[in-house]
Amino acid sequence: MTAPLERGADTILALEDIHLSYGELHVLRGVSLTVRRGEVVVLIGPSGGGKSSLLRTVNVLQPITRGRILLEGEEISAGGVDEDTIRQRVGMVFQQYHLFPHLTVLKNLTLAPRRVFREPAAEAEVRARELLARVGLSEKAGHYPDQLSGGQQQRVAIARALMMKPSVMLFDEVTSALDPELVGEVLGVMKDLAKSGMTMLVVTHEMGFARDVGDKVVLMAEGVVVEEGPPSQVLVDPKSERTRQFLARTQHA
Amino acid sequence: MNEAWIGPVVAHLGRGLLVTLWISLLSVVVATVVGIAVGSLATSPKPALRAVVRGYVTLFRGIPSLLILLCVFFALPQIGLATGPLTASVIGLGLWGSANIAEAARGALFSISPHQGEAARALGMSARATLRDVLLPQAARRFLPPYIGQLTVLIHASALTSVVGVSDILGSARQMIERLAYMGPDSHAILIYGMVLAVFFAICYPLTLLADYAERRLRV
Repeated sequence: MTAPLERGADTILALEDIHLSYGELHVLRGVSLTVRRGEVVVLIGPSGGGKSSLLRTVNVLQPITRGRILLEGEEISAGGVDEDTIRQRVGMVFQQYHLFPHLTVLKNLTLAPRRVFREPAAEAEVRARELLARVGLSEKAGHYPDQLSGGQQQRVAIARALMMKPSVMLFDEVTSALDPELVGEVLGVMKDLAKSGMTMLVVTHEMGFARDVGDKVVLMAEGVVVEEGPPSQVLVDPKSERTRQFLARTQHA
Repeated sequence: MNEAWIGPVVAHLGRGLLVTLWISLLSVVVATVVGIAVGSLATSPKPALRAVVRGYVTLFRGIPSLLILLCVFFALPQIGLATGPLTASVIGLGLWGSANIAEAARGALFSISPHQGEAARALGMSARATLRDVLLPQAARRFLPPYIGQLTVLIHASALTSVVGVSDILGSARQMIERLAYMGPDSHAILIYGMVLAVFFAICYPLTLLADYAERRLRV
């Protein structure tokens, strides 16, 4: 898969021929992908297909074996880049939330901007309260994470990532650990975020979200992009047999 | 029964108590500094270093504290280090305590999910800020209850130092009982050991309560 690379000013993220191996295990086998400003790109596909690994390479949590990653035109996959600065521009939300259990919700939000940007506490708190209002959790500012439901914790995690004003947000199966009745509130926050123009790269098993919110759906399997296109095409009228297989399985699940 | 012995005995026990407190304090400092350093090394990426830490902890936790005291007291002069009973006691108790504290520190550090560090780094926080603001505060909360428990154990173990000739509160008590035995047929052992018992209890019981409190307050 070597799709031609768009290099317009509106390209936030460009992945070129990404390879990743853990020893013998070839997890990513040449993935190329472009995410434009304001676009919501949804990664779907079977477990173990390399979707989560791909997200981790974008956040430089995982160094790649081969290829290039460009964030707003700047190569971030080369040696010698300042990983902390890159991660400030790439927000990440994890499946298991990973809130800081020893800090209140408010402090979970303000810690990183205060440490990284040296933002004054008062200003950070004002922004944190705005974001908590946006995810519907104003009244939980003083609570500790273990006093919140999974859905609430995940909304806090989204707000925490937004505090860094990232250029792009990565979502790694953020509803997979939630009780079914809590999935909706998190997807709702993500929909609002998409509507507000946030650039998003979303790994999910929620086909409804992919269909309703995705600008582009990418099916990954066995470490390669099998098919990509608008949701109306990939989800409804897939070209590849592999995509048809995957969709048939998810619909019967 | 003649009560005249009480004043001198209490004064003597008081001097012994000061020695007990001094030895306890010094060995707690040694055990804490060495223990936290050794325990932190257990998180090292170098397998050789981790093996050394494991060996240290296993060795000192596997030997009775009394034996360590005797070894230090009799072995150090053999290699040319003339140490008094007090220094030998502090070294012996410090080494023994450090192994237990190292184990508590190691356990606390390992109980923090690696995802916590990853979440902090994903927000763009530096390795140092991640350690200081995310990992250490959580590890400290888990470390505190077992640590306070170890302090109690160390204070108890200080009573062993009378064996190498330290006049701690227990050693002082025994001296008094022996002296009083020459002066009359009555044994004062129960009364005097009772006083020592009360003193140890008065020191250690609040620590036990503190450890329980720390455990209850644990929010991690």
